[in-house]
Amino acid sequence: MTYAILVLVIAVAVGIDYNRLTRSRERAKEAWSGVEVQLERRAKLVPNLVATVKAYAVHERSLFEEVARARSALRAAARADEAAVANGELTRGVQRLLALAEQYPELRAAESFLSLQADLADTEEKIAYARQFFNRNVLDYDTRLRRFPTLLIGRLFGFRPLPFFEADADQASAVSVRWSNGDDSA
Amino acid sequence: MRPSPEAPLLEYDRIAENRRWTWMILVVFAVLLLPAAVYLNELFTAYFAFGTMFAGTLTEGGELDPQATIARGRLVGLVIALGVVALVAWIKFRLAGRSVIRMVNARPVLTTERASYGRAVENLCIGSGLPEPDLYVIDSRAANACSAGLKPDAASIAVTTGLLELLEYRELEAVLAQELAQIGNLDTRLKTTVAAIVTTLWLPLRIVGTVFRPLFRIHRLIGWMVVVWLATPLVLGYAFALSLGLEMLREDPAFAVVFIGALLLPVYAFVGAPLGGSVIRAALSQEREFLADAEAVLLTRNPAALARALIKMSAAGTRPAGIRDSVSHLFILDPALRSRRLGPTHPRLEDRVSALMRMDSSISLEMVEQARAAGGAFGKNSGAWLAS
Repeated sequence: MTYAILVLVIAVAVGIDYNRLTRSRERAKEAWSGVEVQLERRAKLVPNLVATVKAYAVHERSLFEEVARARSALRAAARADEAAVANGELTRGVQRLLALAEQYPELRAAESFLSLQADLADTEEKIAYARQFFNRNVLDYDTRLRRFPTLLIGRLFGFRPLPFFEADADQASAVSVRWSNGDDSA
Repeated sequence: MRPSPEAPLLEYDRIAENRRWTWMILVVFAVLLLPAAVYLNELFTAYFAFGTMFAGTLTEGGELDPQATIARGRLVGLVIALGVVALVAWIKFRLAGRSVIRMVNARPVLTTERASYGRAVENLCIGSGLPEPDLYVIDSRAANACSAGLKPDAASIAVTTGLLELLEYRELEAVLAQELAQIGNLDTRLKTTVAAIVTTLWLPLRIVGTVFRPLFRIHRLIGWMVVVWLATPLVLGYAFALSLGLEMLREDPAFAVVFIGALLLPVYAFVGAPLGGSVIRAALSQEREFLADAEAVLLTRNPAALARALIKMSAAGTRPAGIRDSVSHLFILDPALRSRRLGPTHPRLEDRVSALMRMDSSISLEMVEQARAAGGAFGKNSGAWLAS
């Protein structure tokens, strides 16, 4: 009888902990889809930027190809850490495109280019915020997973820690695009 | 750069705490309404007892025990009165979200005003995982912002047009992050409930104020003359009636108690209940503002922007015209011009800025001075000081 009660109590405790862990993981996954939405948004903007810059700077073929490669790598990325690397590549490509555009005064003044630039800056910011939300959720999940006794339940049911979506060092200073009004001293 | 592991846990604790506080404050509100319930009870007792007796005379020729009938009437009356009180408290609570945003004179945002305001809220919602609140604007040259609503998915943020004009993008973002943090941790729910309750409890005072204010506006002397003229017989008559009641206490205690109780009811309505409202509001701890500032910074990673925004706003003037005192605790900075004697609703600006300074060493005194000068210049141009 005593054993039966003991087993029941343990089963209930394990069940509750399992549910908490699952909920935490689902939250992190949901946050990841939020990141993906923003990454996708930027991936859609990039071809427009390429096309706009191409019209002026015809001979920079290798850069255009590099950007296209980074873009498809980002789309293919399945995990947060892979996506972070591909995203870093793409960011560097976009930066170089924008730097290139600086050399063409007519391009710099073009209406379509300015609005693209603003859209890109906005998307960069949205990616940064989505990444922050994702990382906070991953942190919560990973912390739970490392704690005793949840640790044992995680092992038992095959929960794995999720990777963070880290901004690499270059990217931290990547937001070189300016808002049309207001400062950008983030 | 990673958020500390304690942060999410702290957040859940605060949500639970704010839920508890909201309930406790609703209970206190119901208790403060009890004198009204007692009054209603007497009324219902009279009706019910009379009604039963009347019905009794029709059917059985008046062979009823009056004592039992009154007792029964009292019981039914009590149940009805308590039900009414609970219902009033409940309705006040449910409607609080919408009524409070009306109380701050806010209107829905225009598309032309959406640009940076909407973008900042959208981005911050992505960062905090909150649903986007409804955006409102208060037409005023003063610089302030507030939030209202009982649930994060039915919340509203309101900013003044002055704020949109005064602040740069990062500063606006910092202020909005502070509001969103409070929506997320249910500070807003608690504050909205308190605003609705305090407004109700201050209603008698407000009615009197509305009656007398025009007289004072004509001339202060006229106002005072009318007040003295009306109050003198009232005060003297009151003292007389009270002494009469105390004398009766020896001869007919039961009646004297009812008599004195009836005399004290207006005192309660005009002094006791409003004071109770003030006490409820003073119970809101100012710790909340510091925590909300810290949570906002956790989101934007930019303590300097929040510090600059707060300094600029308070230098520019934070009181939109026609804001009632009963909702001032909803705002990020205290909109009252006078200092409060009974329970300040906001921590001092200096304390908030120095808390932010501890988070970010790049905030210099020079920056503080610059922000103050910028806000001061804006305030002088707009004449926000004269607005109220």
